[in-house]
Amino acid sequence: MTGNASQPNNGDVVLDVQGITKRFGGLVAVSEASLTIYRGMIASLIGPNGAGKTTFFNCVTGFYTPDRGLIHFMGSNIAGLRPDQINARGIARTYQNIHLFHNMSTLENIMVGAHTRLSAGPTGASIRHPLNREEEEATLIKAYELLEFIDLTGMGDLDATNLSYGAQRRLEIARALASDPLLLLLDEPTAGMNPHETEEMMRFIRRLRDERGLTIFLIEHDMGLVMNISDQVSVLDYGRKIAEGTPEEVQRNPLVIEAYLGRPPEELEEDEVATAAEEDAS
Amino acid sequence: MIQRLLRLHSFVKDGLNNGFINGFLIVMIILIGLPAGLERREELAPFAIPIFILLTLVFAVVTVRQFGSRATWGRLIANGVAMAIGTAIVFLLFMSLINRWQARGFEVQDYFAEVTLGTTSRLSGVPESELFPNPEVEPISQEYPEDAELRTDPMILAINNDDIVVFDLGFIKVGGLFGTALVLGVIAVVVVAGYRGWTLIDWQAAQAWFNQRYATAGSKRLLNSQLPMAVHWLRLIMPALLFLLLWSTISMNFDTPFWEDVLGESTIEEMDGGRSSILDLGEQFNMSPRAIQNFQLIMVFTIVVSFLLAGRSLRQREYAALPYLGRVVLALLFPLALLALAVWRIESDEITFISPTLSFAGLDELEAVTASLLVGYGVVIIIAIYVLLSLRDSENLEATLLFASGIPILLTMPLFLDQYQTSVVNLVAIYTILGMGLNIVVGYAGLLDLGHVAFFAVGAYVYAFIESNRQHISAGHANDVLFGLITAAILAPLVIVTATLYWQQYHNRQAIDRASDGGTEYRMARLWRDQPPPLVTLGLLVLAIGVALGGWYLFEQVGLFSGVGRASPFLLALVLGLISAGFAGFLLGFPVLRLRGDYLAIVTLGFGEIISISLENLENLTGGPFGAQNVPKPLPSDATIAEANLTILYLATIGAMAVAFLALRLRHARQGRAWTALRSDEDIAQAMGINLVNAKLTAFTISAAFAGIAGVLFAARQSNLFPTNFSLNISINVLAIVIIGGMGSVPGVVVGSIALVGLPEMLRAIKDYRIMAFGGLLVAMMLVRPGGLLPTPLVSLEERARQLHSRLGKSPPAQENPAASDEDKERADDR
Repeated sequence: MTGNASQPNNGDVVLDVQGITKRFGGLVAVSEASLTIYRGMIASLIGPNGAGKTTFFNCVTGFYTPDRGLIHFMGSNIAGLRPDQINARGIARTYQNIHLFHNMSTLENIMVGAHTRLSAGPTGASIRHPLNREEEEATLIKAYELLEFIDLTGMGDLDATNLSYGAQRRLEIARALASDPLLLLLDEPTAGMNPHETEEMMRFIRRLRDERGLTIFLIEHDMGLVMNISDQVSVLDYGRKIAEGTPEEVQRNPLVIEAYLGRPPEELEEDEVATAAEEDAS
Repeated sequence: MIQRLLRLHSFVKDGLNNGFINGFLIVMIILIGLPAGLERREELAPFAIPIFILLTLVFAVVTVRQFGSRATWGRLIANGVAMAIGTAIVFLLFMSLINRWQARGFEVQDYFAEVTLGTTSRLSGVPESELFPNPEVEPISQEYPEDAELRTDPMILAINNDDIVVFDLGFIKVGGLFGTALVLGVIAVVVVAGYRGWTLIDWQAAQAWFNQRYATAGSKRLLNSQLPMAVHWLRLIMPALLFLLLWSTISMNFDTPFWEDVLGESTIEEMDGGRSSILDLGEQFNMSPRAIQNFQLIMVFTIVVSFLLAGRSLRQREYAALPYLGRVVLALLFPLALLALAVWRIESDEITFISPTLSFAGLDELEAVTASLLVGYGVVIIIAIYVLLSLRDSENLEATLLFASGIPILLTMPLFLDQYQTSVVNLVAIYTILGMGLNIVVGYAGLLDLGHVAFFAVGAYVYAFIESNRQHISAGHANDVLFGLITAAILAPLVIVTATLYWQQYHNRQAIDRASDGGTEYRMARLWRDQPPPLVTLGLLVLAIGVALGGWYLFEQVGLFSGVGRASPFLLALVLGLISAGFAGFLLGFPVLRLRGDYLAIVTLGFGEIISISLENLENLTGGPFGAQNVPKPLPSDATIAEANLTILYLATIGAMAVAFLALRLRHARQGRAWTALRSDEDIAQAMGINLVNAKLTAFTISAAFAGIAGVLFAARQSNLFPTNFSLNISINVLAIVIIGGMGSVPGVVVGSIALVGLPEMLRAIKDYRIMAFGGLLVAMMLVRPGGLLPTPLVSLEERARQLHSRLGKSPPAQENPAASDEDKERADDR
């Protein structure tokens, strides 16, 4: 059941989270969570509702500053940096609820993503300096290639918020890709999709890793998808990491089963755990 | 049956709603005209009925749009009738209200006697004589005698009247309230029949009908391609046609052909002969001089708007059938004709603004005339070069034609305006600049700024300060040295930076190809990263120093333009006004970085108030509440006011064009995308790598700098500046311009300023009612066009992206052949 495309190779660390804690008043959303992701991996973060997964993501992408702990990305600490700085370092993300820019066409949405990779300032733009012009053209071409990559050619001039649900999901990923990330964070990429669309999204995520050499870190409730494509699965419960390992290992872990089902695991078969978890999620 | 009734009810309800809005708008129009009408009622009277009908038509269109494909004749008629009734009810209610006002002594009867008496009478079916049986007011108390029987309430009359058959459109007579409903319903239905959506004629339905009956090959072609094409072209040349119409109404000296004058054959006496216009509105349409003035002003605004609309309907289409030469002749025809008209106007009517304008630059009269001619021919030559280059590709024909005719029109039009018109257009242009500034903060970046007037004030007072201290600032030789040094300081870095950038462009041509590899190693040239080799830099440095020294030498030693400082430091004021306002915007940007929405609005509001209170209290600097009085115009003291106004109009027009150009460019660049993303969602924008601090500060700075330009021009237009000129009202006005024009829409700002500054300015006496009209207009806008008058279309890039992409894809060895791709790219940019 493991993702059979490629195993985590040569061991260079992309993301190394060391014991981060995030509190909201008395509520401890993430507590002493640690995690390591290697280059070329598809890593998943699962857990029951309210387990702190999205908070974890928000800490990594700079929306929240963790109260304690370090987040090393490509060897340097990024905890406490602003989201735009973190994006510039090479982390891009998508959101659980789609957040595309309205008032902007599909193509422009992708072009916004390339912001940190461009240098044109207002002065250069107003005199339309040759250098800026070339940069614009290059961005446009790049955005068009991403548009092709997500199969939305011909819809580049539409209002991004008028696209179909699945297309919006893919567009959000394309926008993230435009910033040339090393690590892509996907927050429930298949939320609200039917099994067919989920299947497609799974293939798409694999393509991201295989064709574009990205490291992918995703939150997902669809256990079928998680167990199918992940190289590494981490489980959060009440903000605490309770398990980590290959999908098989995690599936057998009694703590995980307890977190999801809340009763002794001996009576359950493996697949039933997954199914039950799926139901729990939905 | 019940279902049908229910459905009918919903249409009737819609109609009533629309009717209420319609009536409300009419009331608004009457209110706008109210005080003005007391003085100039005879000019307003003829407009009342056309406006009424126009509004009805507008709402008929709205109705059709509402119904869309559900429209049937029965529903439309029901809706139209309901609408008419709704209109009449609101109108009559209002008239009843007026009646009561009048009873309390408001002097509205004179106005209504002319403007609305007929309308009221027709709507209510009450004869005019019965509407005004009011007694005279008592001369001292200005009130009616206590026992007087006041005029009849038209509402009551209309309801009680049994034989109301007096609806008189001139050619038809039908009955009052219900007759009116009938007539308006018919009008609505007739319009509806023509309209489906926004196009004048439903081409598809018409085509289908035509094909079914009379289809032959020729007729099909006519209907399917030639007729729509003709309409499209009509739209393109509409500004030019309207301009000719405007020109024909201008009274000019036709007795002396301008060429005779240019050649020196005519004498002054001959030139003072009869002035006339081809289309004499006064004689043929019985319009008063004021009405003609206003008509011409409206024409000017219509030309501008039609230009903007034509710009929106541009299409890229091949006109390969027309040879290159033909295209060039077509595109150059208009600028050349305009040049002739302009020269004619200048020469035969002795418009002398150009000479004083240039003589403030230290030129004597002969030089000034020569220079002005050079400027005129220069414009034509630049346009000609543009035309020649861009028409190599026949796809550019439409755009080229529009710009080659539009820009000369905009530059020629001021010559044909009289002093009053000049000052109105002036104000519109200044507000356009202001609006462009605010549009960047509010429209692009979505930051609600209510303190825009602050930057306007900064610009204005900088101008006043500098011009009032003219003699100190321009102290002869020292000034030349200063100018020389400033030139050197500006030129040297400019040369270095530009040259470096061009070197990099040449050197990094492959960047574009590399970028499209799709890999993560995407790297663009950056100004300070990819430096040219030291020798090149050294050479550039030497060059820059040489240029700077040369500039300094020209100023100080040769004394070239030595008059610049002595005559008027206008340019200095412009630059300083721009910079200080920009700096003020930058300063405002800091405290509001973390604020959003309402909080941001309140802080900016406070900032505006701070500035306006400072203006009142910093008496040493600003003159306090007495203001800065007798601020000199940016012209020599012997220039007339008309000349000064015309000069400022040119400055403002060119300024507005430049600012609009910049705003458009910024929108379609990285910066504009960042702002738009910011407006959409601040957090997500930040997560996509947009530095919020940067984006917000840039927006505030640029916006404020634009307002500074507007302020300088405003101060140059006024002779006295008072703190009251910079009240909160201005901020609100400008905000209304941006909203009504369409948030983030550059042409929208122009249309907005015309609608909110130009049109009300023609009815100067209505000041008190303007805010009310704003309110009404805003409400109506929200209902009818929530996106503004000219909302921003989405940026269409895919076609261009596909072209660029296929060009790269087809020629993988593009790196080896940079020359070819170079040319292609240039051609793509020309578009």
